[in-house]
Amino acid sequence: MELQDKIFKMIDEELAKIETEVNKLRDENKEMKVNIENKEAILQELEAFNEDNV
Amino acid sequence: MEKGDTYQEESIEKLDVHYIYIKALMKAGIMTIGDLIKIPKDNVLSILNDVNALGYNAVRRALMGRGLIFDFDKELYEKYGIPEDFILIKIATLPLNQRLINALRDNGIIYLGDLLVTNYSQLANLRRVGKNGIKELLDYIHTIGFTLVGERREFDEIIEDYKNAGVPLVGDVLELSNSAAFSLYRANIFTLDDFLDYGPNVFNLIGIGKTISQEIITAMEKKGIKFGVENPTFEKEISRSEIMSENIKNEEIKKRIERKKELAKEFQDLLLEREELLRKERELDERIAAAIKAYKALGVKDGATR
Repeated sequence: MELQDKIFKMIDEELAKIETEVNKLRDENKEMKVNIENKEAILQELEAFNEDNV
Repeated sequence: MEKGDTYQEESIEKLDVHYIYIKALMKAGIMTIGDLIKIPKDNVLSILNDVNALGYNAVRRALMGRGLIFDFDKELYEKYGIPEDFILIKIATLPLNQRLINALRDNGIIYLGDLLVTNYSQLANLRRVGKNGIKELLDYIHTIGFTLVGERREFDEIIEDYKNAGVPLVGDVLELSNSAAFSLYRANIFTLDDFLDYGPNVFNLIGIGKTISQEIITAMEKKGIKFGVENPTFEKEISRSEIMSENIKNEEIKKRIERKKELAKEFQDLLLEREELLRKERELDERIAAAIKAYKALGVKDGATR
């Protein structure tokens, strides 16, 4: 394998690693958003209930 | 995107599309827009293509006209890193030549999202999008920070590289007219090797009509070239490895550096987003804890419902 091809391979591997990290972070953020939405719904429900029963 | 999820339960009859498509979808058990958005692409295609070849695009356009996109499209856009704001920008509103806009529209490319997921060879084979059109589109795509998958440089540059490397072009080898040669170059067929690899399908390429086909057949006969057999006379001199000039490699390095910059920026943005999400979640936890406290203070037993 030519030196240049080896360098390309190394850069590509590094890019793939960064890409994996970015995708992981993106997926985790997405999950957090879903959690937050659920919590917002729970809070809304609780507050409405409390208001109705004051 | 359409605000809220009001469309989820909305009947697909509300879609601005011919009733024959709605009927086919309903027959397949898809009753709401929410159902429609979630189904896999193969299913949509099979349901709508049974009606006619235009069905899929018509329904997709109707959805996009409402600011909605299929889930499978969403995944594709995410894969290409296309921001949501970009997806539904109409090509017609972009600073492009009107003829080019019309040609893209006629090829079913209405939104910027459609354009950015088109790969270079698809673009090069679109009807009525000529060499200048491709250049104009690529220039625009580059100015907004994107590149097309499999993007190649201008024909002139590629041709120059082949010439510098002493590799004969198929147009020269077969002594074709410019229009015949460029019909091949448009499909990324530059050398005789490319041409032989492509085989007889070359006659089905867009832009290769009866006249050009006949010209190519005559040239092949004249040079004694046939598809599907060894053509030793030309085989050696057009090895692909010969064309990997330094120029091309530098382009490759630049592309990788750009990609790394993009990823670093996205990572940074995602970290900032994470901080904000954590802050929001903590705040919600505190408010939920307070609400539970108030709920208990009301003397309601655990597990009671409204």
